[in-house]
Amino acid sequence: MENKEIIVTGSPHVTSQRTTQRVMLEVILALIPAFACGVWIFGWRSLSIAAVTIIACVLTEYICSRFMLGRRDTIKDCTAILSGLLLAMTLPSSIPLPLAFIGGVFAIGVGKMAFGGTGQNIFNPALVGRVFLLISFPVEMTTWPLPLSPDGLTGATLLSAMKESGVDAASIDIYQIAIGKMGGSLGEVGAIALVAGWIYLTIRRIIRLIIPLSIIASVVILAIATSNNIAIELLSGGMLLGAFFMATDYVTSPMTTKGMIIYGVLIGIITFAIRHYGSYPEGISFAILIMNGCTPLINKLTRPRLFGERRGGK
Amino acid sequence: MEEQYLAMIVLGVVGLASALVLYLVAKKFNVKEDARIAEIEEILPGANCGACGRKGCHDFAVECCKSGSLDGLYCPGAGAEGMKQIASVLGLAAKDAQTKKAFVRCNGTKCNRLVGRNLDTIKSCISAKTLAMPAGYCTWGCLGGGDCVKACPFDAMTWDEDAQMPKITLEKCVGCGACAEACPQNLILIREIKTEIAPVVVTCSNREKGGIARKMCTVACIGCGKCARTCQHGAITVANNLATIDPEKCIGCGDCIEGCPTKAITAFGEIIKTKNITTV
Amino acid sequence: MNIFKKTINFGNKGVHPAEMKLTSGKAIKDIPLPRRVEISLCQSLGKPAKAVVAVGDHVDRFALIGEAQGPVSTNVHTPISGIVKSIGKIETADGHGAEGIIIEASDADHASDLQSICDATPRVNDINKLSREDILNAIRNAGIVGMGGATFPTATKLAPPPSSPYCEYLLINGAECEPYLTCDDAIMREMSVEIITGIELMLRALGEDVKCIVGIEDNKPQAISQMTIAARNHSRISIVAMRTRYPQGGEKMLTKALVNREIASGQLPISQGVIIHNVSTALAVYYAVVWGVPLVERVMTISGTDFVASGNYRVPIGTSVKELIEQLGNVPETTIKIVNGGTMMGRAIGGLQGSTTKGMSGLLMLNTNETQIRETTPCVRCGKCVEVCPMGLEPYLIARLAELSRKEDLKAHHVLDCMECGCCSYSCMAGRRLVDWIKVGKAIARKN
Repeated sequence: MENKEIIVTGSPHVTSQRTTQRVMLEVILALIPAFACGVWIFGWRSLSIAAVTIIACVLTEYICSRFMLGRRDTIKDCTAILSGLLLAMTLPSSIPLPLAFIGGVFAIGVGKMAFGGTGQNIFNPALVGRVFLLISFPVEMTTWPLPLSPDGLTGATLLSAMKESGVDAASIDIYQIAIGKMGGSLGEVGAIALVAGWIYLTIRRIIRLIIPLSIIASVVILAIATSNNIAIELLSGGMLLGAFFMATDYVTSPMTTKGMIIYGVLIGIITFAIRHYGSYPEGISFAILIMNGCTPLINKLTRPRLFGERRGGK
Repeated sequence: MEEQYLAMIVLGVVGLASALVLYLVAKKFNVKEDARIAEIEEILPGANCGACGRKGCHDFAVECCKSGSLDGLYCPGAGAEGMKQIASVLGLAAKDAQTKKAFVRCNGTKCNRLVGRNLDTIKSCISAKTLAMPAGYCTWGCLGGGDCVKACPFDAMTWDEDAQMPKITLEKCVGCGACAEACPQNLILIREIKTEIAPVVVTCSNREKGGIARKMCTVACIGCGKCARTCQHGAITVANNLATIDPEKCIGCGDCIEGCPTKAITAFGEIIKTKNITTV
Repeated sequence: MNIFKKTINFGNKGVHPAEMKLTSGKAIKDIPLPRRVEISLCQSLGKPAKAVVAVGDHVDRFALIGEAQGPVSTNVHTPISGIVKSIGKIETADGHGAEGIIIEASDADHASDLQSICDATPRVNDINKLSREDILNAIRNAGIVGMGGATFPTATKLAPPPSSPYCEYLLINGAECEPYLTCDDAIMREMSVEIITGIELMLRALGEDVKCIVGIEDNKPQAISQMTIAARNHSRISIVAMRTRYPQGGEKMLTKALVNREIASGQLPISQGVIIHNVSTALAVYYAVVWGVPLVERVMTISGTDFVASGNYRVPIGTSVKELIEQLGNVPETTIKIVNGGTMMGRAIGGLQGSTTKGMSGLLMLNTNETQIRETTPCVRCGKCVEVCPMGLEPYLIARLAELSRKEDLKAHHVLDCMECGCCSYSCMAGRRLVDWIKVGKAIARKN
């Protein structure tokens, strides 16, 4: 019996099988149906957009971590791939590929690596990339090709149509929206696929129910209070994509149940406010980014209760 | 066109108003500080190591200005030269003080240790100390967690990957003692260095009986007492199977180094003399 | 007693690691009396016991060799007759060494020990005649300590100081929530009557109106039924099945699960009117009081998927670990880690070294599939550690503060309340060594 073979470590000696890489791969898996919907609706060009953003993200992460931070790269975690895919899903299918590339570089370079890499970023990288593109290239970012129209007709998204042209909510067919027959970004259109992905993640216990539910609940309550159409509120725009996949990002969301509720409800309220009272037709990306910034504060305010400590202090 | 002018005027006025507020506030809450404090702080290393016994360099500088003499005030980081400068700033007489250096009382490098440990844990000595050790592993020596390297505010300690031990660059070491504080094995000795006397140090802390110690490490002090017998100045005593050198009596002749059967005594003289940094 | 309708638990915290109870159906086997024992004098939390024999003395089986030094120290006895070979530093499983006594038996000693096992008779026939002091003295003299691993002297725990709150419940811990370990399961299956008698003795020592609840996790159905049958004539003892969840065997978690009370930070269980003992301790109490036998042996689980002789063994305390394993079979070649205790809180040891102690509940030989050496990746702040921490701490934050040696912040985040259950490290998807850092944090926080 050689001592060399025996390894000494601290307890515990078993760990769960779940690694960051596996979790990220599962989230990517959960996104694939929704992305496939986008491909089906907007054509093969969607694939090349995703490829460009993913390559941009992974490349930026590699270069930044190896040559600027001087660390081991964290590509194996697959977080960059996920950010790239999420970014692609928030872009319109007609976006020029160089812009998509710039978005990817900005998302990882400024949104993530500038803060110190994986786990250190305050804002969701994919949303940073999207909002950067939206503000810098408003024309390209708000030109939405109409679904299933090979001749390249473009039009407005549902929300901007309602806001700017005064389209009546009652005239819209909810069923058409649910199956994705509306203008929008790559990932927004497949509502059913998004829900399927979300259910998968929830069953696998990768994300907790609280954040999506509190976002949706607050939007529903506000819609009822202001007598807006609930289905349109939920199914249009990036609401589902944002609530299920963006707001639940581990790094940028609070850790405690209480914190998650505050975070979710505020995202819902801000989204609703931007949609109805702001100048942009869609507000969930801004809402999530604003709340991302508040996350450290929420974490601080909603520390878990120490075992044996009475509620409300010692 | 008018709109642009309006915007410029509004912004300009807002800017001016803010500057005024800032100026007034800065004026009102300005704390008058002895100008010499800043001057002394310039001389101090700014590492906030705590070797002077104060909370940080600023506190030390404040105390220097307050007290009438430099008795009991010594910054090893600034050294004798720095203290002279401080004294001249304050117009006081400089006090002579010894130079101190840190020495690791263990030479249990990877190749010297006879029983290694296959440890897979975090980089921390405290953690390494609590974990189980294989039979025959030297429990007295360096644990290889690198806490001392992390603690050194002067970059004098570096990690030697091959040896799995810390390495002290004596030129940079000021003897502040931060590493000695961090070492859970209490291995690091802070020793006064006298001019032109090479510091002779026992590089082992193993208190096991000779036979056991020898099986743990090739360079362990086995407590044979040969060094104590060799030393003509009575500087070496052996207690608990371990030799210790009294720096007051040692003249740095190095007779004990040659006599030690396990090479557990080393002099750091070469480094000190060539670099000529002991001139106090 | 509708015990099976009641499934209780300490809350939604904690984890449920793979149970790996490889030895759950196995009967307890005896390890033959060793010819040489190395008995550590540090068998309990407090000061080491003081040797009361000298080198060269002949000691009989069960003789007192070390005397307790104060209330949290404990007596030490010898499991074999023989000559005291040496008193001094002995090798321990963790490699740090401890004060101990080495005893070697001659052939004649060995034969007489074997005869004494055959001749043994109970010392007490009617436990109802015993007074409180009789029981406490018997327990104290027998050197019984908490055998769940904390090794706190049982007699001291059973006699709380008069100033402390009144004890309402005696909770008996049969949770055995650690993976692999089945020693408590085995004794509950095979010696339920003895355990119940031991519990009854403890109840007599505590007072008239103290109730006893035995909590057993529902992955041990046989133990639950055996214990229920044994306890059916005892109105003060109830057996409760708990939903399997780690770390239910921790004293705070067990109190929460069984009587729904929370022991505050820094408090002892008695502050909530409960006293907690392990089932193994109850068994030791039975032997000490009824048979007059001191604590010189315990049941241990020796296990590992590749270890052929995995099972539950009754091991004399002081047996060399190396001899023990070699008697049963070789250490499998695939073994990369040897663990003293369970996989969640047990300590990895550097090889087959040292001797068995009163607190050693298992010896596991793990291969690469059973224990993972994982690469550490950056924390993604998923919040899993916060979600599972049964104490309501923020392990990710404490670990980071420990890395930065921030003493005051560590204290503010209650680092000292951590019980090192390992749930956070277990569930960390980035493979971070949270518990290791928290232990460092504790050391930093305790530094003056």
